[in-house]
Parts: sequence; C-alpha cells; structure tokens
Amino acid sequence: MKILEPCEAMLSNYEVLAHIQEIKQRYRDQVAEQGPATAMKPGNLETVMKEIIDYLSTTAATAQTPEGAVKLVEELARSPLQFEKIEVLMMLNHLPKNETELDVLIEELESRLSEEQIAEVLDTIRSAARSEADRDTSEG
Amino acid sequence: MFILTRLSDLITIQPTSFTVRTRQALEDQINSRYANKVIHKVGLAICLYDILKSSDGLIGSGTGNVNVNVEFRLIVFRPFKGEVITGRIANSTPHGIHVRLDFFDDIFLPKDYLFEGSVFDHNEQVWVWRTEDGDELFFDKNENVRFRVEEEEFTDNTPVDPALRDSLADADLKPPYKLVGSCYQSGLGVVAWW
Repeated sequence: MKILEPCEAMLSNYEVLAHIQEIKQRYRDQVAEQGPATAMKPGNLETVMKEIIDYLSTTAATAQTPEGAVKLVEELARSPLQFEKIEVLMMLNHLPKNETELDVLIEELESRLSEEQIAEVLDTIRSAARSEADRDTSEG
Repeated sequence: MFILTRLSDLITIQPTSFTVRTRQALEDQINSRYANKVIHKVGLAICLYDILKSSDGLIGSGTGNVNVNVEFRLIVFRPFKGEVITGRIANSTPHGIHVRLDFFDDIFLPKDYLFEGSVFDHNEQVWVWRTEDGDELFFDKNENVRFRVEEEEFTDNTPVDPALRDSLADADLKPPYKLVGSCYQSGLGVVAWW
C-alpha cells in the first residue's frame, strides 16, 4: 500500500450519503439481475455502510439535493464576506438555524460580520434548507 | 468531516472470483481490505470512492492469482482540527464524557474542555453545567451533543509477540484513532439547549 495523496479533497456529508446510497442501489440492482449469489459483500463494508447511513440520516444531509447543495455553496462562496472553504463546508453540513449556531462554525463571527450580514447569511441558509424540504415533501 | 485519499495498492484476485467482472472483483477486494479500518495517520477508511487506474493482471508463478496494481480513492473519516461535529453521549465518567457517532466510538471530551462551572454528579453519573444564571443543564446519556475537535491521536497497534501479550493489560491497548473534543463555547453542548 502506498499513500499517494492523504487528502485530495474534502467531501460534504451529503456527498458521502449520496455515494453510499448509490452503491447500495447498485448492489440491489445486481441482485435483481444476477440472483442473490452475487450479493455477498464483505461484512465490514456492510457494517460501515449501515452505520454511516444511520448517522447521516440524523443530520441535515438527508433532506439535501445536489442542486440545492451546489446553489448554497456557490452563494456562500461568492458572498463578499470571504468565508474560508472549511467554513462553507461546515455551514453546508450543519445548516445553522440561529446566530449562536452560526457563531460556533465561523471564527470571530461578530468582528467579521455586522448584524445585518449575519441575518443575511442565516436567511440564505434558511431559504436553501426550506426549498429542499419543500421538494422533499412534494416528491414524497 | 470526510475526505478523499488517493492510494495505490497491489490487489490480488483469486481464481474463485474469475467469474465476476474484473472491475467488480477489484472493488470487492479493495473494500474488504479497507472498509471500516483505520489507516495510520490518514483516518478511518469508509469505502471505495472510485478506481483511477489499473494495470494489466499478472499471474504469479505457483498460484493462479491475478495481481493488479490499482490506483484508487477512498472516502476517509478525518475531521480537521476545529471542526464542529454532532454526536451522541455514550457515557460519562468523572474524567469526562465519551461521545460516539454511529460508525466511530473513540471520542472523548475531557473534563477540562467542558464549560466552566461543569461538575460531575456522582449519584446520577452525569455531568451538569451550572450556568452563571444558576440554571442546571444536564449532559444526559444519549443526548445529541455538539463538540469541537481539538486533538487527534493515532496509535500504531503493531502485533505484539504472543509470549508477551498475556502480560499486557487490556488498558494498554489503545484505539488506533482517537479524537479529543471540547465543549466550552456557547452553541456547543447538547443540541436542544440552543
């Protein structure tokens, strides 16, 4: 084993959840196509996939959509407030609902942003979360 | 919280897997080797993300195994320092609070990293935060708790000589990857508080 690049990119919770659900779906299709004999997957993989889905289902990632996530990231990254990449990532993962929750994710929030700007950021996040939730219920 | 790590490895496909498509056989081999395992100084490998390159298969003499050099990417759990994560309280001791995620258990919030004014209630076996206003907030078991990652620790658990193994107590066996978190900023702590 050789480690070529320890950290090539960071993934959001949503991307991980989507990837694992995609693998699960592929395995299910395979079983339907070729019979249950091909369904034998390594036990450690089954365990970790189940546990990751269990965990991520309790987070904001469940209700997210690819378009919604991209839109939110673009809006936050484009904003003149100059958020760090990891701050945008954490906002996407947590979707903070109030100022206290946002303050935890952003370093020195109060000195960097005015009260109006904080409200604006929270609004952006809230509208992204809402549009995703709406679509979820209309689809379901 | 999750990252992509690029690795290369020599993957062996046994003749019993020759009926399976090569790509699938490689994926299964990589997953059974890495999924849910800690890679030293990298993090907890979750599963294969994609295969980037693979060489032609070479059959070694003596066995019928096919050896393939594969370059691939794994999804790895490796929170960065300062990241905020939500987990559940597994149990509390006078030394601090143990937190678990469904897929990762070795997270510890030491007592020095809890809110100022936190005390351990020995009868209830729970940490209590006495706020300045005189309120008592409880770190109950199974509550969702938000914490900040402060330190990480990798332990290389190389196998020990079986003759020596008996003399080692269980306590000497440290988890291969361990996180230390903190809870002393408003917004952190039990999620329902804020």
